Amino acid sequence: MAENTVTHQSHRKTLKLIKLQEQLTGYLFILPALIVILIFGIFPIGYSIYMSLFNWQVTKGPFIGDKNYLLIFGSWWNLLVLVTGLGLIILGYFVWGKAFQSVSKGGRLARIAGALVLVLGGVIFVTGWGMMYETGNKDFLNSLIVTIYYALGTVPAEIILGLVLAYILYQDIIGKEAFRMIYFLPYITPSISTAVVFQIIFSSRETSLANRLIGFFGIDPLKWRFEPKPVLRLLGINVSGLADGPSLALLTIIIFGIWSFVGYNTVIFLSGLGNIPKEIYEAAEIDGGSKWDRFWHITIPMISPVTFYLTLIGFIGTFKAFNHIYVMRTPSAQNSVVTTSLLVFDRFYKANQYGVATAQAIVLFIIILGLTLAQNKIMGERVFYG
Amino acid sequence: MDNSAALPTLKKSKKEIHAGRILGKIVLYLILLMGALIFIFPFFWMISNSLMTLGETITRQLLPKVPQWINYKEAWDQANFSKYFVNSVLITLGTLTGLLFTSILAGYAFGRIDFKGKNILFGIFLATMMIPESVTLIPNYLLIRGNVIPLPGGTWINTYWALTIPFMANAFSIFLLRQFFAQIPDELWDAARIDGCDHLRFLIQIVMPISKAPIMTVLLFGFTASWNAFQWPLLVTTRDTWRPLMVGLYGFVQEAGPYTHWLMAGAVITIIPILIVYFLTQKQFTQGIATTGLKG
Amino acid sequence: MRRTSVLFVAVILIASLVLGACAKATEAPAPTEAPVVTEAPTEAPVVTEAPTEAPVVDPWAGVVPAKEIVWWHQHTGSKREAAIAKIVEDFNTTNPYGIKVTAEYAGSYGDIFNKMLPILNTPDVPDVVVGYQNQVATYQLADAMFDMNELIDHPEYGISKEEQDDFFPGFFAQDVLSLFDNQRLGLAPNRSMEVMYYNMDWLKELGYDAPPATPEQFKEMACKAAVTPFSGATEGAASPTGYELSIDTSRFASWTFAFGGDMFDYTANQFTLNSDAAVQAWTFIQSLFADGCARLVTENYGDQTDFGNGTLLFAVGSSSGLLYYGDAVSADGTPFEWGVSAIPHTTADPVMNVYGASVSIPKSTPERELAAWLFVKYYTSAPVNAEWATASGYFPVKASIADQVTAEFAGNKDAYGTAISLLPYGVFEPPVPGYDFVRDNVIEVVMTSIVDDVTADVKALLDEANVNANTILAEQMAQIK
Repeated sequence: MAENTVTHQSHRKTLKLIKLQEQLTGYLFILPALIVILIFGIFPIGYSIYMSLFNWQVTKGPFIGDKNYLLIFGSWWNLLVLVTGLGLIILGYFVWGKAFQSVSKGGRLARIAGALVLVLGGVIFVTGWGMMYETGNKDFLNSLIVTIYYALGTVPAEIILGLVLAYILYQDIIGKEAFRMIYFLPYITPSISTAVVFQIIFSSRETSLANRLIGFFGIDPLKWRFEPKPVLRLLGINVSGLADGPSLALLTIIIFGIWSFVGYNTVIFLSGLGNIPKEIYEAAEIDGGSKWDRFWHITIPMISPVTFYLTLIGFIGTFKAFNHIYVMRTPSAQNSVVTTSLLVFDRFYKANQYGVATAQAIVLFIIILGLTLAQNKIMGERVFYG
Repeated sequence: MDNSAALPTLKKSKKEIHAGRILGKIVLYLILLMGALIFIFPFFWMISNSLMTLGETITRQLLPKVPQWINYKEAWDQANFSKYFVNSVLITLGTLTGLLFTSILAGYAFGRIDFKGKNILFGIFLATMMIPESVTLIPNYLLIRGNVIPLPGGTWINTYWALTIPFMANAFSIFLLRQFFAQIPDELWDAARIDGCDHLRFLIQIVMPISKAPIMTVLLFGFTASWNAFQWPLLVTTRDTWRPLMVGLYGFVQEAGPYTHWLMAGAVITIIPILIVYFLTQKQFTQGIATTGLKG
Repeated sequence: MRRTSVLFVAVILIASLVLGACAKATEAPAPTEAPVVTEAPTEAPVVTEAPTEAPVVDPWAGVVPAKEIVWWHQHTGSKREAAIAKIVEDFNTTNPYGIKVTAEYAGSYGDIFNKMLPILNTPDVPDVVVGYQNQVATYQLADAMFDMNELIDHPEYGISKEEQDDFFPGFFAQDVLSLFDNQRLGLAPNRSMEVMYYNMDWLKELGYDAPPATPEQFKEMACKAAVTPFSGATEGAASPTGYELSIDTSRFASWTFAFGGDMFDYTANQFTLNSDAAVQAWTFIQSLFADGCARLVTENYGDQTDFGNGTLLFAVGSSSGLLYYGDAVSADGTPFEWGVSAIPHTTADPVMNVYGASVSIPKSTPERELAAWLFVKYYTSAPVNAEWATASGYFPVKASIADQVTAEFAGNKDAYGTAISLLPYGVFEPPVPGYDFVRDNVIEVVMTSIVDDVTADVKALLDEANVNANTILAEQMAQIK
């Protein structure tokens, strides 16, 4: 018996050692990346936070604490109201979701409660937003809305188109190499050149390509990049407030964005598709089932890690997107194309108000962070790592 | 069972299936072609304009009468491309080496090793990608100038290091590789471990060979980003020594302004190396990687 | 999972704050300016002053100019780079002080500006730098630029009265900044000017024999052109129009000046975007749009394209486009006669918007500043200026060489000559900090508001714009310690 205890102990010790070695290997492996990212990635964030606490224009001024942030919100109370509203929405959603799982009467009550909380949260959120709009920085808040329009306009389209294209180009198609390259071209062309082309295609002249195309369908020439009116209004639907939707100018930029980045998504999806073992498909074929079934029940789950990745970085990318929007911006489109990153840029480089600009950048950063966490929570659990 | 009645129906449905497939394929090709036309048109416009005379670009012709290959030579000379081309190649090579090194290691660690604080650290990495570039430029500029932490050599302005080291690691590449490495079946690792393999050998001898597709992807995108970068190189170079190609193009764009034909020629010149890299990496893709090594 | 997430957010923020606070970069070392006497005696708000009382001690006596200095510029293109190389080479070999200049391409004006801001008042600044006056004004918020008034009238190192007077007055005055006690923070080596390009052949077809001199004439001709296409217009190009406006603050300035107003009050140091002249000018432009005689430029350089195609009668733009306009007109094989003239004005004399970057000297050590000054003096001297103007296509800044440069102009010499003859009437845009922001976010916005809705109240829009501009100016000036 004594022998067994000894081996058992040493066995446990070896396990501990192995685990320690694992941890060490882990840290060692990430060390090179960590050094670079800490220095060139984290430091700027810290420095930006530092700058945002001062009255910093060209040179460092006096310490003003949270004043730059208050310029954005109006007051901390406003922000609290907004966040409370958001929190209640999340709580309501959570309760609602949980309640769906139970069938008892208590469950039904919980669902009603959840719905109420959700609505309450929504009301408080909108109130908070309104308060901020009154006393805070209208331009900043508007830019957030524009950014959301841009993100929602480009990311889902890019993902769906990217996946569809990748799937098609993964089959045996004649000339698929050529097709793959064609769809990838927009991504690698420098935006300074592609912007010139798009400016000419979507020019407001009657003879521009875009106008000639819609003229084909009997529509009058549009002002495209120069049109600050919401697309919905142009179509005759008159809504107001947040539901207005993106302007035509923003829509033009969204098209430019999608065109530029679909190729990126396609290439990555292709990598992902290549990773799915053919045996699984073969097994499914034997079991019967249509091509659509195979796509839906095999391809999509197997490729979910890639989809997760692309959605996450898609939103991160569009929230801070700059180049593509900047080169297509016109003064005529007014604020309807000014995303938050453009706002920050103007404030930083043209007005040289570093304190104000970095405060805005940090707020944007926190929003992106929150968004990523939310996405991680919602989508992360559905990802299937074969 | 009376087979003779079943046989004719079987034959008919086979024909239907065949016809349906052909129709389906035709529709597919049509969609692909239309899409390709939309995607390639601006690029075609670029090439076409790069071969036109100034007059043709002004009168917005679709095709040049006589291709003006001389535009390329003129753009090349005016933008000093020969001086900057070698720089770009060297900078990109250096950056890519570093990038692959850091991303493969880190991607593997995050995807397959369990260590304390893994999620926090990964989150921190990802967080660095969430801040708009317009505000990170100045702090990084100060870093490179040696004003924040002492750098070997004083300042790194106008050095090779300033142009390569900041880009030798980025969270997106790590994230992408992590997703792929995580998908590798645990049985493979268990088997290797029993054979006495440690993580490093597993990574190098087994994981990397079957992960050609994602690694080539990281390489391709890393190359594109490094090749097309101009904002940062502009900031950290004041002399020609390490100035890359895109800075030359950028300056050229400022000067050439309305001279569309030269502008487009310059742009096409800068795209060609990326296309070459694309071809080289895509060949790796189509060699059907994933299934090898899993059977057995 | 939630707890870890909150934890990691907290860790990032704390870590970054700690790292950020460790940055030493923010404390700028005190400028190493030795001489105590910094202002030349008697500051009259006039441009050039003769030294009245000579100070007993000359702060520059015994200062030996530095041997090596650096010049940051933004010129690209083989012609300009060759010209710069020659100028620098000539200076290096002929100057009696043994000063060697190294010229470096440091990016566009904006890039140079961004590089400069973090290094102001440190030894790492270049010795000579190009910049627009509003950029230099921003530098001066940190008191970082050398006041050339210290040396311009110096007995040994200064510029003679003759040579000072040889500068076109508008150019010479532009670098004396009223916001900073009339310090001279730059000298002009080149300038451009807003001119009106016109299609002479088309004018003849419309029944006129000369370009318009007043806005009423301009409107009459433009409206006629909008309905009467040019016979030499390119097939299938755009429909004809009289004027295309590009939304650019320089157009705002040009038209406001031409109606006798200014954008800025230099005694009160306030914007005057809503002056009577501005309101009149922009009501006029609005009427052009309302009557269908004008439209907006549709893409970058669209007006130049349309002008070249013969579908645009008048264009207002920078004189630096002279060469390109010439190319555009003759490029499609059917050239027509064209020229430039003053912006149609209600004033007795023409009023022209002149602009351009100057060369300035960041503060460093007296030795470096003196050497930099000597190079700047050389660069702006008449013979060198003639060389530079010819090679770069910009206008010269000295009246004595105007004829010589005109003769050597590679494009439309008549147009160039006309333009040069208008240089004495130069007026400039406000050289104030934050001007770039005001340009893009206030003035260009109000321009679109005025022309996009032809029923809009011009005065109300300009009033609001003026308030915004002055608010921004106040924010910028609050930075001065």
